[in-house]
Amino acid sequence: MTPSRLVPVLLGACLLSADEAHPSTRLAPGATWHWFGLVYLAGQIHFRDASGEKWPTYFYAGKQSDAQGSFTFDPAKPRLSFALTFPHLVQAGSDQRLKILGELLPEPERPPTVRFTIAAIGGFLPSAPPEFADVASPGPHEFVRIDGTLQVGARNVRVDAPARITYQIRPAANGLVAGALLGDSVKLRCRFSVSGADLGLVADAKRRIDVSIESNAFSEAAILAKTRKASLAEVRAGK
Amino acid sequence: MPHRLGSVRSAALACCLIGLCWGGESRDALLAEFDRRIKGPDPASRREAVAWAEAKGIADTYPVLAPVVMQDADRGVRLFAAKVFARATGRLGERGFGYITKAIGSMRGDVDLYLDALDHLVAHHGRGSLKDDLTNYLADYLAALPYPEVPPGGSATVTVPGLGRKGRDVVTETTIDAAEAKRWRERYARVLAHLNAVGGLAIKPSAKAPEEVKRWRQDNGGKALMAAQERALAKARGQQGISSPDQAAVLFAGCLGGAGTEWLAGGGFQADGSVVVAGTALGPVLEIAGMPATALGADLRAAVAPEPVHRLANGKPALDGEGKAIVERFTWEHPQGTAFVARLSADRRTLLALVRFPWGSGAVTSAAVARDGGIYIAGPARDGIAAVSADAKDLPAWQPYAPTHPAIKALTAKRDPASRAYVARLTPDGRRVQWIRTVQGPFSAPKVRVGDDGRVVFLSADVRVLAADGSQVSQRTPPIALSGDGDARADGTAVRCGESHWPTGHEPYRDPWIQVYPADGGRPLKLYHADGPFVGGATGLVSDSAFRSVRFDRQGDLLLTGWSDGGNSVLYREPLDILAVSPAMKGIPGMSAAGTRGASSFAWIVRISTTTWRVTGGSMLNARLASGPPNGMALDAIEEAADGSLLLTGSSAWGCPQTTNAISTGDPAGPAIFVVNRDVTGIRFGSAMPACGRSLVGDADSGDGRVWGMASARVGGRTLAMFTCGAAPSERLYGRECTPPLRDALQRTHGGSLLDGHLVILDLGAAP
Repeated sequence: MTPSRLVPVLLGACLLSADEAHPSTRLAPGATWHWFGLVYLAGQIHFRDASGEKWPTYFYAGKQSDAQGSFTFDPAKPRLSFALTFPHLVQAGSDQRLKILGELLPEPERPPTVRFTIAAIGGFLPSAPPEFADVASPGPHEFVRIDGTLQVGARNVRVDAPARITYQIRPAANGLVAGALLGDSVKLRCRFSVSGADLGLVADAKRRIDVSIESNAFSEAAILAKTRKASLAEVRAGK
Repeated sequence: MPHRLGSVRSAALACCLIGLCWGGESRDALLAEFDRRIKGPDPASRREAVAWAEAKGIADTYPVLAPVVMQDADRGVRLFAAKVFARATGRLGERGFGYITKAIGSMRGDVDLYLDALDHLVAHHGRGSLKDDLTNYLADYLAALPYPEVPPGGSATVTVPGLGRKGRDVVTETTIDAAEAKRWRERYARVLAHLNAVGGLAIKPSAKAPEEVKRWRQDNGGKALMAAQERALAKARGQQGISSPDQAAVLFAGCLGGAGTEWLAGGGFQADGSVVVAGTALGPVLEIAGMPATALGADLRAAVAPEPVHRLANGKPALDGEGKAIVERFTWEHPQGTAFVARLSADRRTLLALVRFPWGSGAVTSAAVARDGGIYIAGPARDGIAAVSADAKDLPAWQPYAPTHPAIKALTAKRDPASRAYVARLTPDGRRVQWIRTVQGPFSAPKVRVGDDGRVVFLSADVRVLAADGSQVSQRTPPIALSGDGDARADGTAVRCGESHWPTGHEPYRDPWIQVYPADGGRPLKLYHADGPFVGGATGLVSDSAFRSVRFDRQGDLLLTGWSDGGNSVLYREPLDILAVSPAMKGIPGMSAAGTRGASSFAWIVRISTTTWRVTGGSMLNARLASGPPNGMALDAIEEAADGSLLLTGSSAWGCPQTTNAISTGDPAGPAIFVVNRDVTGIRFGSAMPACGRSLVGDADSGDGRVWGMASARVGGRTLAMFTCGAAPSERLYGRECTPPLRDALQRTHGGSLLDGHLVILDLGAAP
């Protein structure tokens, strides 16, 4: 069997063994996306009072942020590592007492370190977990469970939660066909809940806080095109 | 697994077979071959190409068959492709349903084709899919109905709550055309009957839908106001304007002034109905309705006629479109500025008093009338002003809020820290100054407010609260004079608003902000002013936006006017959560306002509770061109009327909403005044004001570019409101020479100088 005949056979075998098909039949196993702090909003994290009594607290990571990690597509065993620090507090100069994390922000100009890390993920889930029941976006996507850590100041909270990985679909442009999956980027979205006590809140220790994290990773080609560097190593070195 | 390829085992097997039996032909090669085949010149070959795609297992890919369904020149090929596409996407679950509905949606103009394609959709996706499609169709139908308030050719936005997919609102904007509406109704009837039959549904024609939509509009804040604006289209065409059950009545409109140059900056009503107005005179004389002004204090200098100030461009006088030199507005900082106060009888037929300060001793930027009839005025103080009263004192000097702050440095560089502002109280008869107080410091246009308890709030370089006898109760130093507009409550709480520039990653962005300084001197609360990258990345609401004016209402809540360059603005979000749309702003076009064909200035009204910090009311208030689309408009200032209505001033390029009793003498263009009801759901009065608003009583440099004063009170069981400004003898608007509005006025004509004061008094109805 020639190599050219072998490829589709192996692809089909992989699909069979996974008993699943990826949303894009054009996406090859091994496709990888990387997290770099290259965009104005490298990531965002929302802390929302589940009762709605207090206003939400938002942090974000901007350009040149401390973003690390990658996602590698594999229908049988996807791999994901992720670490992102969110150094910027939205409405930082404001009195924070009306907000859910206000107790931790007596000096909002100097917010505590907020960092989210994913050490490992499981395989693709067969269906949408309830945490994402309200997400209606019809784009191609997968669900996985993550094993991560949320750091807020001195507190570290172990996170075992579902995450959604959404693949970018481009509109028709530059001669491309609408709906084509180019794989330029993937969006990682995690959702889970913690208690106020988990984060070190005292007055709001018993409140349930819904946490949502979003960040985009980009293909090597997209990163190099944007940065005009020759390799990811050069990008990492900041040349 | 609705989000995935459904039964994929067969697809995978097909993939293996392709590999084994097809000699290594890749998927890309298959796609390329399909591209070649589908370009066949005759329908039969293209039909074969579609069948070939299905046989090769690529028919479920959107870019393969959707273009054929949507675009093929032959109806038979389109329908055949829809059938194959429906069959192939039936295996893809929700994603496939999205593909097929998007593809056959393009067939709606051809009802027969559409219905046949729907049959294929039902066959392969099930009957449950029909509701979504039907509701979308219904929205189209509703959008095409000829609404009574929008004549044929007009534009209407229709929002049907909860009728869209997953219970979302359906929002449709369309141009009304009677013939098109008839066609849509026919199509709708056919589609409805067909869907009911095929889908086993029992949906009845929605004859009441327009009424439901109308009622929903009336019940939903901002959207309802916009519906009222749509009715203003008629006025814009020279027909009938907006009419509402609670429409305000015009009691008085006209000039107050003589041979000198003067303008009005504010005023109020006394308990007996007497009307008090205050303003600035430049000289060389001051008389109104033949009554010369009585001087309070000795003049230190003689008055001279003011010279018009021409705007310069490259060192030469700037010219308008007709080649005339552009004359700058006179401002409150004019060195000849002289304060004056006039009182009119309750029937507005008699001038009871006219007094002035010494020539050039200080202008008026704000005025108020207390419950006891005492008259307060405020403005910049100059030499000789202390002579107006035996009780003249300096209050403790301004203390910088943060001397090293760059904005403070910039302020003190621009404005003299040694300059002084004043506030004075005159007796109710307006003939004597009971006391005058001055404050040293760099200030924007000073303001004075008086509460029902008699306490006086004086804003200049900082915030002072005074008792009725002129003694200082408190002094606070929020940076109220830095930039933008500001206000303060008698409890010491202060607020400031404006805009800042912040990149978003999409485009440069003007970020609106409000800062509330608590009475206890603690850290201020920021509203809106979410970081640019967060706004751009998390919301995409990057239309430049700004707040133009802010006031505390009688309950201590915030009233604001805003501006945005486009509809996708954070101004319809919650102040402390810009990811959340404010329910009070539901129905605002948002991103859909992007298609407004050139309008780049959207005016906003926002009411915010200082208890919950939620938006409790608000809307866009836009001008409309005669052809329908929105046009540029701005709101400069806002005040609360005694009955809770909102008094607003602004300007439009053309097409401001006008009520049936508008007092404009020309096109609906230029300066304008409005009264909007408390819930911001209806316009009670709206009129263009040609030749008016020709002097600055606010601070243009800091963004508080007010040209009007506004006041309101309950008098004799009625709620009265007034608008004051400076008016030129005439203004040329769109080829017509227009004079200042006139209605039951004390003087029939302009006094003939560069500017007269101008006063409008409205009756807002029985006091609640």
